[in-house]
Amino acid sequence: MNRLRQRRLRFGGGFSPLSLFAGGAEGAWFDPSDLTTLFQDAAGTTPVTTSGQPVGLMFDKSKGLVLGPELITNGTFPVNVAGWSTAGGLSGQVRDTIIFPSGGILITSNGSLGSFTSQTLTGLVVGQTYQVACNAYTPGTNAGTDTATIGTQNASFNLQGTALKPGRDVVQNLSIVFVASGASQDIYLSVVSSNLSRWGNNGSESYFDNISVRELPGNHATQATGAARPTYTEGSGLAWLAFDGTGDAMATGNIDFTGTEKINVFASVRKLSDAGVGMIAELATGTEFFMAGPQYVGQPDYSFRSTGSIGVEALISGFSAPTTDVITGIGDIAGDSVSIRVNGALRTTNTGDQGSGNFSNSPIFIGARNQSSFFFTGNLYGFVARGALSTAAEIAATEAYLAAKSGVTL
Amino acid sequence: MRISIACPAALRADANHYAMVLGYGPADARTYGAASWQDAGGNLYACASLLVGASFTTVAQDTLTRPTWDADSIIDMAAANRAQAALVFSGAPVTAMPDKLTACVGDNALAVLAAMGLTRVEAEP
Repeated sequence: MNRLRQRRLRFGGGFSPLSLFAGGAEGAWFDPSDLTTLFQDAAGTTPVTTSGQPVGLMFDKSKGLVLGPELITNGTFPVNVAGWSTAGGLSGQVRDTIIFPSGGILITSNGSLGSFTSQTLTGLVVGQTYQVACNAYTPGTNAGTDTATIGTQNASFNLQGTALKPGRDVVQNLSIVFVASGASQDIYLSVVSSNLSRWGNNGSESYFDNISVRELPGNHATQATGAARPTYTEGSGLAWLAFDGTGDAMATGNIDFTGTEKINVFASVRKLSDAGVGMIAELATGTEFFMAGPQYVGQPDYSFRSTGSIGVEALISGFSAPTTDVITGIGDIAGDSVSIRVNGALRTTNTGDQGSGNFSNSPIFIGARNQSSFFFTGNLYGFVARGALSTAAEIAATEAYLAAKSGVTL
Repeated sequence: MRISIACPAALRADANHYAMVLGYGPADARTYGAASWQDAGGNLYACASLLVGASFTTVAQDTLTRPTWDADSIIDMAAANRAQAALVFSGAPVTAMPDKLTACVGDNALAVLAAMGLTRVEAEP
């Protein structure tokens, strides 16, 4: 490694945690300073745009946020409406209009079930996240609040699965994400009232174009319960998720760590209280690995636990809240080693017997145990979990990267 | 503004129906989880804290109507109304009451709950 390369790694210059996953390691990378990855709701319909807004969905960047291949057939309507249902109000032909001059579709409501069109996607992977997007236009002449929606639901009007913007006479971008629960999924374009309580009135219209559904790889974190969403916050040139210590938490879907018994977890946090146990992050519920701050009630500590069939922890004291730190946990079940580093320095290693076995295919919970206890009180500036051991250079670079995110001087 | 709410353990089920009425979907039934806080008398509470808009307190105390997303009637409106009847709203921290849903305004959730006389009773992992 040349000197320039060493310097860049040491100080984080040009380094991206994405490189930690280039070899195929499973895990997650969350970056609260990247607003393109944050949404106020779990369905991803409303982006986070400013400080003080709740966060219901946070994209994992470990897979690069590279969208998969297009799954919609005929989403741009250059010639016809092939592939879309025509029994629900679709006018049945391409409308070249001033709105979508190269083609689009028009849905004219008949006031009842005749207010939508749909397409069935097949070949989806259960548990994977898909992003649905389109351009939509609602004429100002529509009755009442009738507007355009795109979603995965039909008559149930489930808000979690529907995106809408009530603006009129302007082309808007609508998007949602959904997690596949089966191999197939219907996508609906519809005309409904803006409160989603009924179909559009007879004669109300909506135009759609550029419909797209593509897999969004990653282990994204969500929180569907409104009162349990952390708050996006900015200050002093930094950005973070604020966890209130009473109920805020997020969770990924299952992350398949079954192929490894080695784990590396990095987090930059501001710990605001030592009064109660604060689970910064945990795989599964108490039987895998966790990073806590503090682990013991009233103690100024951080800990990292790694568990094969026996849980072993590395615990370091001397970090009284409030304190801002970069924490690194390193677990190796077969190697019977668990270490914790704080602010770039190795603090302690425990070589107790961790038993045997690999980690599991489970969610990572952020900010609490199983979203139900041990609520962390503080700020999260960045988080990386990698199902592999990292080199000294990779650890140094990741810690430097997270230090810059949290204002910590290593 | 931020409000922090202390829900007595016995009111938790009703309060979660109330939370769904005021919230956005079935997931709001998990607003009040484990009763992991206690007052000086040993009474247990589930607590929640959230950011709300200026109209929230008015809406929360107005006549409750079933939200449009609840087409399947999963909300027990009678339970929600019982919880609403137990609501005590305060612009500043007041002592939590074991038969009331006590909601107090304050920027720091933990400080508000402490001022309400509540402490955590969680064990250690």
